[in-house]
Amino acid sequence: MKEKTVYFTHQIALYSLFIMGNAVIDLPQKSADEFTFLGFLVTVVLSLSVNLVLTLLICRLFSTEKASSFKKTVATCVAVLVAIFALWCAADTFSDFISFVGKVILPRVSPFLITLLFLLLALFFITRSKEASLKFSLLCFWGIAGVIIFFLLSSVRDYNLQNIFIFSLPTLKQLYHQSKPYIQNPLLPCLLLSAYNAVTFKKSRLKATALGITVGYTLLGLCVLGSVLLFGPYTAGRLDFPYSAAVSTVTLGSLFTRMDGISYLLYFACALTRTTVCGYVIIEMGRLIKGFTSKKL
Amino acid sequence: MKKLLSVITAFSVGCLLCGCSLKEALSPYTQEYIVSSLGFEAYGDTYSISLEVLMINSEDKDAQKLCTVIKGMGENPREALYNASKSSALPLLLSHCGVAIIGESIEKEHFEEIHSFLTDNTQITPSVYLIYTQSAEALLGCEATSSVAVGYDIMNMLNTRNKADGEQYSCRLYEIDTLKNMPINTFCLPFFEVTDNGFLISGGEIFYDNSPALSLTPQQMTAYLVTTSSQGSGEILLNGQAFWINSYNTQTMFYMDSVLKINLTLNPRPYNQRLCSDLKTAVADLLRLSVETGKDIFGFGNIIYRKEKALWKRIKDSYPEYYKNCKFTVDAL
Repeated sequence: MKEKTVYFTHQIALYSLFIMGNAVIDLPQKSADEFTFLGFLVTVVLSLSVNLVLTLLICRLFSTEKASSFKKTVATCVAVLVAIFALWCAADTFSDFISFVGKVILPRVSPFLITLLFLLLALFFITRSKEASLKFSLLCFWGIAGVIIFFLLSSVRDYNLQNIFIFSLPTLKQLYHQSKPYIQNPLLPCLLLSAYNAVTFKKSRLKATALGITVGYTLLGLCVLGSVLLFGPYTAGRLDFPYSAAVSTVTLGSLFTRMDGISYLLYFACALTRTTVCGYVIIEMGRLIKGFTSKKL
Repeated sequence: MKKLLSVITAFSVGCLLCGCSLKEALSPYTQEYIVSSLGFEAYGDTYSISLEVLMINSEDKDAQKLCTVIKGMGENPREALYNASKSSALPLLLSHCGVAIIGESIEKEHFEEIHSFLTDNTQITPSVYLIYTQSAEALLGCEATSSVAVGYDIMNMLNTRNKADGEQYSCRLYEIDTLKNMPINTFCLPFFEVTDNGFLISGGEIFYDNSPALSLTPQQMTAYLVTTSSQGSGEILLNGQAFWINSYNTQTMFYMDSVLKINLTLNPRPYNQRLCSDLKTAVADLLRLSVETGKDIFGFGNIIYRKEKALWKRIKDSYPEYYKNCKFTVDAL
């Protein structure tokens, strides 16, 4: 019965959290400047189209049915590249999160302890079945969406709409410059989702992929929008942790100030999900490589 | 059983990573100094920082809340803060700092250093208010009246002026940061004057290119807020008469032939002939003062930069000269 479970909503939730990953901690970045939101929108369109195509291709490539030796060779090479890239993504996300926790959330706690705990938790999910991380993602997703919408609405009175006005359209070179930080993160790591989809579900599942990516970018976009509307594109790009700084300004009356503690689940769950998915992809790529190479022998 | 234990372990670990500390939860009370405001002054190359600190016993509601000012000196603001914290018996919590006070002794290079210090410190929230005064130490030495600390009193006063009088000072750190990075680096900090009875907002101080450029009286401050579209619904005082404004609009037009021409149209509502006349005079006087100094304290250059790209490209290299020789008209309708 478990094999027949679709996990449609779970996949959307996991993809959303993966996309936010460590991007929600760092974005928008310094090169965002005036056209932050245009650069972001360009990245969303690019990510969606590239991911859908890649999902189809990777599913076919990693399918072991009637695989010729050439196909196996190509698949092995791609699997190696994917595994290396997944390792890099996992390390990048992990180090960003630990650095953020050390500076903002738990500045007086030893980073060794935080690192150990995070690694143990990630390993726990990686070594479990795929259902564990999917269910964890779905549970966290609703809380995270609620937190993001809550902070967005709470800060409305402090927003300056002029911060997102586009007084003149950018040139292509300027647009590329503004899109670059979003291409580096989350677009490139997002490409791993096609490999995850291939090894987890064995089918392309384009609808869930498209929805997951859209929802993920929407939530990430709301986070970026919040900090840009509040601080302006220049200041938001200059801050180390723009979204964390934005939520720290939220006050409700005179009693509830510095409510950023509510947002900590967001950073933790997104970073853990991305690290876990990358770890899972690495292990599955290893199995695929072993499968392709052992059959060759 | 194994699954249940795994879930419980994962949940506990997750809680710990989200900032729940068992040690702090078990502690009978938490004692640390909360810094409510920072005051900056300079004596030549030496910075002086005054911290208004509160010692809060979070568990004992009846315990006396101590509020004191500690000082530190150093070659830069970081060193001054470090030296100040050394004289404190408890750790300092900067995350609740609400106000950064700039003293009269601060000049351009000092302000740049202070701004860099405030923005680089991840503990200090970007929404901290920046204000200006004669002596930061004297201001912090006043007695708090409406809250537990002078810094929080100042925050309350600024919020009240915003809500009751519609005065939007745009003096938060992130607002200053945005204005500093526009082509015309100018912003205004509210001026707090220390009196025998305490302290009050008494006009403002215009900063141009990071150094104090022009002191504004309360009436000039009103004219400035009106011109920069920072005056919202509320009561304003002009020539001793109070006027209530429901809504307000300033239109700025720029023309260029041999000289730069600036046309300001002020539209206060409800319409009042005396209000329009007084407002027109006050704005024109301030504009004349600004043009004479050649310092675009209103940031008209930034408006041109955003909305009239072609014009800005033409005049940007010699903008101060163009501004000094500009012709302006002010209408209040």
